[in-house]
Amino acid sequence: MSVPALAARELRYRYPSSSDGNAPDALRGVDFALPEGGYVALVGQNGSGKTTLAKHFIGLLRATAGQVLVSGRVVADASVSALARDVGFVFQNPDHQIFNASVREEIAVGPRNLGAGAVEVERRVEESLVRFELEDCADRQPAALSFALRRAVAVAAVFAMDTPILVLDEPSAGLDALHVQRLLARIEERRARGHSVVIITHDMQLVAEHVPRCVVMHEGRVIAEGDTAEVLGDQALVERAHLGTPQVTRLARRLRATGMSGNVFGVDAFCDHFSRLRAGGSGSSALDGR
Amino acid sequence: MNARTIALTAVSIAIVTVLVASVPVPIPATGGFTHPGAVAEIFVAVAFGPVIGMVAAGVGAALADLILGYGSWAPLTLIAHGSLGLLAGWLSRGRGKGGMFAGWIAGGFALVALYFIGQATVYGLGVAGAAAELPFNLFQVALGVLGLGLFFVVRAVYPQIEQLAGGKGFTDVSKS
Amino acid sequence: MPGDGPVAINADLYVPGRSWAHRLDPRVKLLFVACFIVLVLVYDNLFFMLSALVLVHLLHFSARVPAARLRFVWKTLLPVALLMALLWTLFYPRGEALAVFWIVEITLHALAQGAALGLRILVMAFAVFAWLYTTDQAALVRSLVKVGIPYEWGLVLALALRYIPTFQGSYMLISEAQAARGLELRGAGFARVRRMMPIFVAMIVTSLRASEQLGRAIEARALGAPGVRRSVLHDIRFRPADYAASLLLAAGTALLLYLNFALGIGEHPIALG
Repeated sequence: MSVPALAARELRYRYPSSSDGNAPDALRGVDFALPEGGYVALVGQNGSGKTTLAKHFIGLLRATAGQVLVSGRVVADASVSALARDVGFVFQNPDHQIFNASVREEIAVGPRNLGAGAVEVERRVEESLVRFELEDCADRQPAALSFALRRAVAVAAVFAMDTPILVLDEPSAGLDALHVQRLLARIEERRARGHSVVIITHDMQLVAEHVPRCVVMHEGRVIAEGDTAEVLGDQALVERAHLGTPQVTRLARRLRATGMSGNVFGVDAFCDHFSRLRAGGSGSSALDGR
Repeated sequence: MNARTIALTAVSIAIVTVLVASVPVPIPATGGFTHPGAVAEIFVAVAFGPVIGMVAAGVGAALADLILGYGSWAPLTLIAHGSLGLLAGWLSRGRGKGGMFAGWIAGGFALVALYFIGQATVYGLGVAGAAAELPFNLFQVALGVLGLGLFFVVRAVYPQIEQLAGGKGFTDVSKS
Repeated sequence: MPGDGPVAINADLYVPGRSWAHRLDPRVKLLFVACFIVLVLVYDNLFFMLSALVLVHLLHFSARVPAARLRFVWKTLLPVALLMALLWTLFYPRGEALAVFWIVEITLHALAQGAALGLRILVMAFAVFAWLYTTDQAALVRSLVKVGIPYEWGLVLALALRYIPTFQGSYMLISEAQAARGLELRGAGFARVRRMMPIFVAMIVTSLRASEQLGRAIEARALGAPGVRRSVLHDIRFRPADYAASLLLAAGTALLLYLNFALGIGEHPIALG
């Protein structure tokens, strides 16, 4: 078995707060592992500890107790910029990253900070521009672009660092369907190269369709972990963690009387099941009538 | 005062307060700390002119004093930092880089001088005590020159700043 | 000790409560601060300063301000106060020497004067914080508007106070985002501030974006609509207790000023009368 790309063991974290001394720990003994080449969604309601956990993997927060490992090495005093070699972190708000006068410059910052040579920086910038379809605005001010494009620039800037591990915090928030699809395609490319990906999101539709595994957080703990279908199939769990059920699943459940399975989480799965149902004939009469 | 100016002034004050109150900058070879407040003050003055410059620098820095518990310095800070913002904004208006530079020098001098006089007399530190604070204030003001560089960078990154600073009303310039 | 990153600050100084000091009209508290500051600037006497310090502490205690808030003020200002006391003791000897070290003469006069001036800084701070700790931001701004500051400037202050924690938060997030891209903050002075530039740029652009939206929001809510006199939701009004407190304050201050100007009481740092 290979070394996990990211791992946390018995991780506890308490925010140093001046005013609220009675606040519970933000993380209360989290065990987490992302295998090398894995793709996992970190889900759970606001305040469940997803971002807090993720920030430990790039050293922005330091464990109060327990251990954090990146590429098999314990993160003790490793600096954020040292960890940035292994872990690319996309923040929620693209405006928090952008500070350059051109998109090209913006994308070049990360690779330069990591010490890439001029030729290599150039190559990575060009590649990112093409992949994220930003060629047309390469020389424009990123801050003057639309929100979707600013997000694309922020993601491209992190992708250009070419880290073996990616952590994306709410990357689809505020994006239209087209830009979400583009983003997911870029993630798949990285997966094909064996890179590991964690995506923090509230979009269960996206998770159901694209992310094979789920880690569910609730009140500072990991309360479930497994294949996405397995997690979404557990209705008590979905309820407890306020995950929300994908529309297609709700549709399937409404059609249970027709023989439709209640555990269908994506459009493809729904269609598969539906055609099997039609072919098998069981219960199809109920549908035929409509 | 129109809505745009109200918003811009409030936001400028908050920027100054945050940079003064919560961004420590180590002072070389002393182990002490200062802050980059003057960077923000010079930036605001050069970008938005003497009135917003004065209010943002004076009120912003005085609020920081209150927040940090240095309540009794706040009145002096209001006047000294306000003068820096006023002079830097006034001298830099339409006079190019030379004017900006002159604004920084004059504003910086005013701040250091006002702190010195205020501390020596009203606050009763005496000449010796005020002199002890002098190098600290000089260094803090010297850092302010980087506010000019910051202005040029921000203008390149966010050209809409020209519209914000100008006298016109709102035009839909951002696509956020 | 501040480390590499930004320091978290608590920008809202208000301590929620229902004490008499909380219920006092904010304008009376403003008057109190003004009287207190004038008096401690006029008086130079050590015993006066000590009494003022005790009095202002009693005010804080009766308003149920937590001891931690008072410790905070002590902690930040004590070094300055001690420095002042030391400087005056060393550099401004007057009268008979108590002790002589080499060329330094220690006199009772200088010792008392230094202590009085050090205490003055503390007393002034505690007076200002008595006002800020017991008055919420809305009442604070309203009282300033009531004493003659134009409504627009009151609004500017209120909005600035509201945005300080927001911008502080975005400053922290931006520092994190830049660190995650490999930005390292090291060095001191100019070198350090130059390295911080990416953070400043992103923070200012984010803030200016907020300012544009804020401006539109204010406009959309019809600020400055022509021919309209603004009404307010929670007006502040003087109650009998507020009149009594103001009267007491004014009378006390007038008396103390008379004693000082006419009779010279409190002019000397240590002697009474």
